[in-house]
Amino acid sequence: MRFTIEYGGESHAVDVTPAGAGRYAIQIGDGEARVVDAFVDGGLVHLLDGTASRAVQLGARGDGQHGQHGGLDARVTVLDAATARRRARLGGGAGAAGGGVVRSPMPGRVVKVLVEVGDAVTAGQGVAIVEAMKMENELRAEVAGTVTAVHVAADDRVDGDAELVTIEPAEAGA
Amino acid sequence: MFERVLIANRGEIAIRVMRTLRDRGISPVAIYSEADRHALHVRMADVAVCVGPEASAKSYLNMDAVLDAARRTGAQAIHPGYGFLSENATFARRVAEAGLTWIGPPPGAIEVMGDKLTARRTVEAAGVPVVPGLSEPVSDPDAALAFAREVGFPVMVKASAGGGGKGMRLVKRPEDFVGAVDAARREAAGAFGDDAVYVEKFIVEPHHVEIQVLCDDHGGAVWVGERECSAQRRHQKVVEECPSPFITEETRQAMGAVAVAAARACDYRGAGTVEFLVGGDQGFYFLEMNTRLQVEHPVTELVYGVDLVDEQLRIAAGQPMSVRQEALIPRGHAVECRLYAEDPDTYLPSPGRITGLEWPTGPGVRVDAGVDAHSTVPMSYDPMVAKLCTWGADRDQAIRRMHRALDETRVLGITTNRALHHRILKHPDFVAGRYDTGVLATPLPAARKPDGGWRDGLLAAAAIARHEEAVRGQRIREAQPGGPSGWRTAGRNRVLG
Repeated sequence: MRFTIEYGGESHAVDVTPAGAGRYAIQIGDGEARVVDAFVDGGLVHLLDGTASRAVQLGARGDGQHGQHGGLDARVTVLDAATARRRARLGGGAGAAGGGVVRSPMPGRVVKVLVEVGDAVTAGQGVAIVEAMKMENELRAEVAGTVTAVHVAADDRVDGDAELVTIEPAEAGA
Repeated sequence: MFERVLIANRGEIAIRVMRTLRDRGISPVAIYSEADRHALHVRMADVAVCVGPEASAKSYLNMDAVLDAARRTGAQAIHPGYGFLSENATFARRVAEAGLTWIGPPPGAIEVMGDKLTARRTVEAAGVPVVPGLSEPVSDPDAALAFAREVGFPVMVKASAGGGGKGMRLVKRPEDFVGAVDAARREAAGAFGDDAVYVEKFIVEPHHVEIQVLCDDHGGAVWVGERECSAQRRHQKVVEECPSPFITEETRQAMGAVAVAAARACDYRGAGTVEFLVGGDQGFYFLEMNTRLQVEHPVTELVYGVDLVDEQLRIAAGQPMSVRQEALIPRGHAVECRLYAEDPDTYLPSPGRITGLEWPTGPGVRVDAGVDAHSTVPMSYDPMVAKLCTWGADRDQAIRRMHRALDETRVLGITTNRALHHRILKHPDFVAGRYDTGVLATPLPAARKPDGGWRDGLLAAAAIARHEEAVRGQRIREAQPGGPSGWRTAGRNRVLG
């Protein structure tokens, strides 16, 4: 079975082939296939790869997963073959739309919206203030451009990743 | 002793207090807001009362609801924990008026220490050193300048009504003084509607060191060592340790005696903490007294072998405390790291559902957590989810154990500041034990980076887990002959997706 795994801003093709007795052949990208002994239980995956012993914990996080082992954290998104193909067909839709949409990185309450539709904004300019856990956080535009939509109002409660403001990026060199 | 005690708090401190109550066979009563209905501190209690909606002002700070909860459940005493109503003299009075015991200091002591200028005057009269400063607001700028020259520059101009850094000016040179006073006045008037400002000597590169005190109704008053709390970010403590690696034994003894004098000056009862600023020359100055249990009290408990909550219970019940000054001998070293639900790089909060969790254990490890594997961290409350403490025979061992404990910690689903702690603990000034309150504003050592083997392990694990899930799903579909076929489901997903 082939999966596409997004991690650290890159996509990795990973092939998994059961090799019997809890063992799997794993091939990452064009790398050499390795046979590992794996124990899977709940969010735990324990891998024995030669003398390397790796206990990886996985937990749901948003639409992806949060992985931890050896004291380090990472976010991974595992796509099956069909989803990966569909994303590829759409030409990296998520990435292309990302720059112009300011999202709330966490659930919280909108304290204030700092811009209106039609406003010109510069990259790094604050567009909204969202409060969570007794702290106010100013969220900034990633790109310069014009505000085309404001999706929230003061006092609204928002989920993590909620769209706050959409910015039509200015033409390069304009 | 009490048979039933209500804990007017949530999270880790509610659980901390609950544990000592259970150790003593006292029945704990939990309170909760609607958002905390299934929070860990409620699940750990046998008796729990809802005190209102998610907003603290309407629940954990709702005095009527908290008192009513105590009445309904037959609690004889209320332990306030820290924060919320713990330093509210009005509430302390109302608890007593309701015929209940307040597990905290007398309301009068809370009031004296709750007002900066009153606290300063009270302890100064008892011979406690305070930061040299004017005890009255500036009316004549020239006289104030003469005072500033006398105590020596730099000085701090502060709004009397101040807070949050507004109306504050650091003045390094006499020629800037009058202008700074004017600016601070304008800012104070705008922010607080009161343009009164006063002047204080600025302690250069200060250390924040605090002394734990205990006072009972039988004339007993002791100090239980100090805690070094200089590792702060935006005045929020992040790492604490006991003993302080900075102060000398002479300073420690002098501070302890002065802290007891400060507590006696306000007729204190119970557990309290006297905070000091300590300069590079070991000169120390009273900052304030916290009239409650501190967040970082476990490091004291580890080094002195005292259960501070148990002492609070004894004292509130009118018994003498169990400790004597000469028997309080420190042993080893303890460090505490506050685990916050926040990004270690951007400091953005990270509330949400925890999808996996394991706490460290083993030699010298103590965890005071407010959450478990079934918890959601709500967005309305403090972001601290746990305190990790380690004890070692010496400071070096305590720090090495903390690195290990941090590595053993698993919290999935939300982001914690775990990685930040490794970096702080490796900061050369922290390692050398000579850090002041500016340490977290200086560049920290780089975070550990994952290597290729780590990445491959992560990718293989994520792929195998998904493969197993797919195989299991297939087996379930095959076991249900009448159910939807895998092919049909896949087809529908494709259409809908």
